Amino acid sequence: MAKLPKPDELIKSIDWTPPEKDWMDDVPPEIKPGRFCYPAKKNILEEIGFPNPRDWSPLDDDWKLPPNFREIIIEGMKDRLSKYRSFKVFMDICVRCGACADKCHYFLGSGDPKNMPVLRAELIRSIYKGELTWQGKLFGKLAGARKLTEDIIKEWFYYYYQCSECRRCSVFCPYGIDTCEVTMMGRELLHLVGCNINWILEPVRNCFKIGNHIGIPPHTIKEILEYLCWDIEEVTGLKLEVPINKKGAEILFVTPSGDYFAEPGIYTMMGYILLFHYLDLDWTMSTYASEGGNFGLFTSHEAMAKINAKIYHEAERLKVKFIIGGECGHMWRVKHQYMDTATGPAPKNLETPKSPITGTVFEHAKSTKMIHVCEFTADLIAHGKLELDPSRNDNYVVTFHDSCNPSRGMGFFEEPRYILKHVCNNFYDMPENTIREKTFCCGSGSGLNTDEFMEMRMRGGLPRANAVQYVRDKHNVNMLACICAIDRAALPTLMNYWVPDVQVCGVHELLANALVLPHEKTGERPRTLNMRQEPLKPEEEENA
Amino acid sequence: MALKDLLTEKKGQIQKKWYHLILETYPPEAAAFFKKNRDQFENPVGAHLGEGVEGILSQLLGETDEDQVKHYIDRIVRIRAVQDFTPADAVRVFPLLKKAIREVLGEELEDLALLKEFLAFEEQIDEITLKAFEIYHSCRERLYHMKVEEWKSRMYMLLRKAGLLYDEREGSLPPQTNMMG
Repeated sequence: MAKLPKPDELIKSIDWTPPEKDWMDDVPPEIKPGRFCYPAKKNILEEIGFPNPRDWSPLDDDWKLPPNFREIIIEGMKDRLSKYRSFKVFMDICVRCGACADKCHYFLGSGDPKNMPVLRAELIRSIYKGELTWQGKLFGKLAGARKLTEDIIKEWFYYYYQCSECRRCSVFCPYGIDTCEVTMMGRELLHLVGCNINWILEPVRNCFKIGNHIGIPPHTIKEILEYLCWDIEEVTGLKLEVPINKKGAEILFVTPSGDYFAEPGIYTMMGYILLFHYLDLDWTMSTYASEGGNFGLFTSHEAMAKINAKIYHEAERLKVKFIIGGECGHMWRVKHQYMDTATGPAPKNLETPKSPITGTVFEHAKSTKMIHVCEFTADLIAHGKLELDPSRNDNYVVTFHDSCNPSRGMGFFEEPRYILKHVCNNFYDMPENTIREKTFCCGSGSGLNTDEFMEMRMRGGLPRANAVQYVRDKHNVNMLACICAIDRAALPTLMNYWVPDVQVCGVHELLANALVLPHEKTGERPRTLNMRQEPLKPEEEENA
Repeated sequence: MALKDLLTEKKGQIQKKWYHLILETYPPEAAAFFKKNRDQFENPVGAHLGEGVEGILSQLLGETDEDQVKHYIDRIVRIRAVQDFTPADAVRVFPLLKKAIREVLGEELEDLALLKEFLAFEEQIDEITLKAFEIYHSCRERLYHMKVEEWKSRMYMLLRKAGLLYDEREGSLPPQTNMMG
């Protein structure tokens, strides 16, 4: 429990000077490059059937909103208040205690009061009060109420795209208000008048139309996976193939597309391929459900459900028994919290996941039929099914970043750490108030990992980088492991700015390094390179 | 009393004053938080600014190694380079030290001999400001560099497939004829 101040301390801490400007009068915000994401392209909105497609820029004075934007937003708000009990409760119960105020990484890094979760939620709450409650209509500003104007839409756009939906604030809220869901509602309302960002909606379009965020067609996916198999051959001497769209396979494997086209995600992908080969699993990937990520989650509940449904469709078409999902962050929030109700029930051919190697039945996934690759692997290690040589990762001193969604969204803390402790000899956690459920976001989550947003990302990522810097200085940590594709894309950049000598990897990359293959045991072809094709041992030792 | 002794004697006060002047460049709600929370992980901005302020002041008073001053300037400037400041406002924190010293010493500086010493000392602060500008510039440069690097990483396999990537293992860029993969 927090230490209570003594009365005299409390009095001393009260600043009686009123702020120069009330936050309510401080609209619209001054919008500057580096602090907003580019708006969604006209053709993208047209293709996915979203309202008000047009060419515009947040730097323009006229945002070309529909003339009746007020009615649209207020009706949209009423609709959501009636549909989602949580939204209604979150609008009504906040007592402004301020417990969340200093928990947001964007506030910690920027010092902008409107990045305090309480105030960010108040941006929408004040409109709810001013437009939809009698108290607000009667007492106006006194009751914390405002009227909806075009400037308020600008303010919403600016600040609801400065929240990475990480939910750290909700951990500290005594009422359990999930400010992330307030942001989700804010973004849904903004969609109604066509204020949204391209970095989220283009991947959504690509997922609908082609199957993955970047829009890689099936033959290119196949070719890229072949490249990765050649790299595995360089490292291990094994000639492997990735099964694609294989009907009747036991397991459908779905992973974020960043794992097979972006660096350093590809090394994690090589890790999965090598592990599944080692186990002789009957698995397949799909070119239709070729994306584990779901930017629909950052868009609207309909878009999220539509993208997620592809995984079940493909599981049904390929007649697999269950689904394994790769190392991804927000994908797991969808699977854990929404998949069952948004796209369930699962197709009839799916069974409760049961590890073909250990026989473990994953009862918790009885309904969704989908398990996390880390729980699958941790179970293998616990049953002694993997021969591991952790000394192969001796070049690395590793720490683990709990990605927001697996940690706070599904309570997934131990499995990745369990794997890491078995595959490397040097593992150190970051300080307690920066990991597990209190973990700090990478600063780029919820579809904000775009380059035009770089300054905000660096501010928001400071608390995370600061904790990494601490373990780097204390334990010489040089590798930051994580289980999220957005992290693998965003953290290298974050490290580059704040802690340049720390690299980023996935958990299964380190596992693949440590995995002792049968032919390596016989000494036939000892492993000398890691998945990045760098020498396993420091060079001076090799030359000695 | 020589200026340095006086500054050493009043170091605590100057440090506090300077830190408060820096905090005044932030919105009042944020400044109150940066000041209040002493946890280095829960309040990294406050912690970095505090560490920088103390380190630079100690260095100016000759208490620490001169080489370390860059590290302390970096602690402050790296943060301000990505916050809501113009370049001038980002590095203005260093001239604020002059203001802090003047405010703390006040009457003592009316002594002409001491004032002369102070003017010389100010040059040292100017030097720090210039170093800060250098670091600020390198931070901003790095931001742009990172944008490019990020695009390359993001498209890594596609660029590799198209033969457009410099690959250390290959040794050089492939000939133009290979551009189409």
